[in-house]
Amino acid sequence: MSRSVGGYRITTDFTTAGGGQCRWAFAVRDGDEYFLKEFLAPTYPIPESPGSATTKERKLRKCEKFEEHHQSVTSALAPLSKTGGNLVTTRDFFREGAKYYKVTEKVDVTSLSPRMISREPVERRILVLLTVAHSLEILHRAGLVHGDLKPENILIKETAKGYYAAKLIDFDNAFFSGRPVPPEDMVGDPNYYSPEIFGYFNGGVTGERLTTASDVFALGLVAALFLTGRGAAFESVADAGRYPGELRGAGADCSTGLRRTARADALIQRMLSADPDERPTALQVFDGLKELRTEAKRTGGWPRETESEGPSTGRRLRGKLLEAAAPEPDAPKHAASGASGEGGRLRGSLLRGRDSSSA
Amino acid sequence: MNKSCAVCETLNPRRAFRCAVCDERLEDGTPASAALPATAEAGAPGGSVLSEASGRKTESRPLGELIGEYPWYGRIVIWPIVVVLLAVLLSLMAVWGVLGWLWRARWVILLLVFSFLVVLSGLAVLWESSVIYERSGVP
Ligand SMILES: Nc1ncnc2c1ncn2[C@@H]1O[C@H](COP(=O)(O)OP(=O)(O)OP(=O)(O)O)[C@@H](O)[C@H]1O
Repeated sequence: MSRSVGGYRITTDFTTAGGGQCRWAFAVRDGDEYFLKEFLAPTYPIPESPGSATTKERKLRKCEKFEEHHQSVTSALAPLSKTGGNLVTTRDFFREGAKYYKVTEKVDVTSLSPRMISREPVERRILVLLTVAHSLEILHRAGLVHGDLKPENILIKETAKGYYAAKLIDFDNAFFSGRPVPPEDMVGDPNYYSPEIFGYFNGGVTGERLTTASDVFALGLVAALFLTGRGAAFESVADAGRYPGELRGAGADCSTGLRRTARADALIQRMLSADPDERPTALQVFDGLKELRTEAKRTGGWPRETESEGPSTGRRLRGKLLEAAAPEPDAPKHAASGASGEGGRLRGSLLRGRDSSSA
Repeated sequence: MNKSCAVCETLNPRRAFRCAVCDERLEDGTPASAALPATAEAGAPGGSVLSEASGRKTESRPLGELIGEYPWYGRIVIWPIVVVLLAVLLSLMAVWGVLGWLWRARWVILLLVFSFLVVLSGLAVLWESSVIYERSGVP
């Protein structure tokens, strides 16, 4: 337990809980508490490690790429990161032995599922989203795409005044707008991929089209989930796959679950546009949410007739609706390999996804 | 130092008065985690007097904000100062009648005295509001 890594004293056991590509623990340094993440891959070919010279050479190349990526993202984030804000950026990134480590400030997380958030008063639900949109806007202003925006990477914290604020974490998959990693190196959660990310995997879309708008798509899914507790539902389209991004890309209609809250519905619908150019920017989303919150504060909730619709209250969409982007908190995460089974749309290490990366 | 909003923990610029995200009034320079335990334990949304007071007590606040919050009229501490200074000014004016040389420099003197008066009133506002602030903890 009293092990030290890179000058950080580990205070808890390493765990893989909630992590896909890592083990993590809390640590202390100079009296401050930190979250320390140990990457399971890549591993650095130290002299004692097994493998032939060629294998070691290959591993080394991988590590160099990994390091370079992390350093560039970390230095782009550095001017944006201040302790205590809602953007939980990397404080330290280093290698010890064969393993890489990343350090961020520790967040005192409140265990609040999206469903529980959706039961909060409307203006508080919107406030959670506002804090996410604000963090995202800061990130986008720096030209960075988060690349893995999903509820698991939004930590909820109770604030001094008893409200809930969202802390945006995990910039491991971040990339500069229009300059993503090659499709085979891309990781993330297909449940939150935008249509153009799927296009990138299929080879139909170039990397330049993968911009900050991809995060806005994911934020649209998160927004629907936090506001309604169920998330957006997509019309099924033959041979289009099962993920929201695939379905939207194939022209599927979508219900946000906020049909009668016209303005909220319109905002989220725009965020979920198949065409990235039609999506609002993070700043526009932020402004839109702010207006909604002002309204919600004034009226004490959505106007009565606009309470989010229940599953049985008649949806616009006919046919089979897929409850997308709203996995039950305890439900096993989608196996990316399962997605490949559906038409083999996802290629390369997307297929490794979060599930096999822990292998 | 950035100001952390007690409602949503957004970091706002030092000079900001309201939070950019939630529009709540910002308490000056409160560290992100400072006022937490009292309110969180009490489970009282809106915060307790204790945390409000402790969040503000030791901090200095922009004059504009203080004046906005504590209008300088009607404050017992300021008026005596203003009255005394006005009395001094009037006496000076009386003296001018006698001393001819003062008359020639009257505008300079007037300007000096008025500037002094303004600065002193400002300081009084600041001092008085910080005292009241510390004493009550609640505006
Ligand atoms: N700064 C932090 N403070 C406290 N807990 C944290 C912090 N960052 C992450 N966690 C916790 O650790 C878990 C794993 O972190 P993280 O999401 O960064 O790992 P990951 O391997 O990248 O996961 P994924 O592949 O799902 O994105 C999170 O689910 C969260 O509960």
